[in-house]
Amino acid sequence: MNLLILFFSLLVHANNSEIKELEIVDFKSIKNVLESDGLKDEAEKKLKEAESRKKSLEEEKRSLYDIPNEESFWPLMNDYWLVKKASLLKWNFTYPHYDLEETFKKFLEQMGFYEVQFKILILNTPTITHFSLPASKENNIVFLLSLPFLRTMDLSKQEMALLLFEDFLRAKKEIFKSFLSQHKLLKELGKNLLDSKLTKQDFDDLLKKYDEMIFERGFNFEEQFLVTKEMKQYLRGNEKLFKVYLGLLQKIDDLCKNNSLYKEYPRIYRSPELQRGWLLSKD
Amino acid sequence: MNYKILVLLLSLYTCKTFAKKTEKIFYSYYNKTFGHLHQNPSKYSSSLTTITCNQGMKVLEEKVSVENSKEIWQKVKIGPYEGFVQKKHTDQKWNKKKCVQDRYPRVFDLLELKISDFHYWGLLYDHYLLEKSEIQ
Repeated sequence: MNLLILFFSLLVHANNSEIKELEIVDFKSIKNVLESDGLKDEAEKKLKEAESRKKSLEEEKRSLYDIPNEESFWPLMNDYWLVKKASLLKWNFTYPHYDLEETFKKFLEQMGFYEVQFKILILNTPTITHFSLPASKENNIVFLLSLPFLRTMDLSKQEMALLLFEDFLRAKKEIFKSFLSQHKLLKELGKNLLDSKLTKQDFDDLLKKYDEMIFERGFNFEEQFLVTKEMKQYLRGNEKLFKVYLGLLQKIDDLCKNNSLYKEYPRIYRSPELQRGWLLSKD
Repeated sequence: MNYKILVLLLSLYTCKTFAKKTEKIFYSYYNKTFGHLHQNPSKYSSSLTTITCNQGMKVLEEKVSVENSKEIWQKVKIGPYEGFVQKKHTDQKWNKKKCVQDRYPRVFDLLELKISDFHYWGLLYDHYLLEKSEIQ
């Protein structure tokens, strides 16, 4: 019996070693077969796919840290400034609809400016009389207009449109933008936060520069001269409009001299009296 | 005879139910940074809730503004609220690229907006008078 068991165990051992021998396959000998199967190409393709998927995922992750380009930045910054200044500028108030946007749209078309997208925000404060905020090219310009200022002067729609057009030319000349151009934040536009060290403080500093321009600096004599000369060129062909513009400047000049609320106006826009002089000069 | 009347009534009821089921439902998506769902079709009307860009809304009907006949408002349903948003502030298609907070989320986080900022930012788009000059 014992002998029989020994015999069988030897037989099983012999079979096992035979299987192990078979398992050691020489892959070199079947390399050609594998290559002709296209398995290698398939493996390479899958590897490339995995790599590109990994790369696009990394890019997507990185894009979360993108800093807006110029086109997206100005609307964002203008909104942010207006939101932060909401209590001072008092733009959240009730007023009748004057259809001012339609009037100005027609005025721009009359002056030959097409496809210009703009926003007008009416303010219930004399702190800012009228102003245009920075914009990318000629588009998405935000105009601020004070209702107390318009009412005090009892302006017609045409006069309001002329006032807005003057601000439009200022925005077109990018005077406000060039005043801000040296700010750190503006040099980082279109880049990535991971490569720069921008903080909230940089945004707050830019808001302060907005305040400085709008409430203190305004436009110097040279800038005002250039804007007035351009106004003169646009209105040259239309005597009626030219007279309305002259009358408007006279009204503003009188207001600044007689109403203490608006005595700071010539410090921001230098000065309605000089502007009239430039318009009437023969050159 | 009674059987015929019963069949007729039953078929009429089925038609009515089917018509109700196939009624088209419109959805729109808010396309400004922030906004408000107003109680009435007016920018001065009180706010029911603040909404953010790409907020989906079920459109119920359209109405003309009380103050400005050119302003069209949509009566919409957002969650439990039924209110109004300006039609020009909505799109029929969802688009991630139009929302500044989705395109530049980390920069937007840097601003550290407060609740009052969200509120005013929403109101800002109601108060902007938007226009675009065109070639006639």
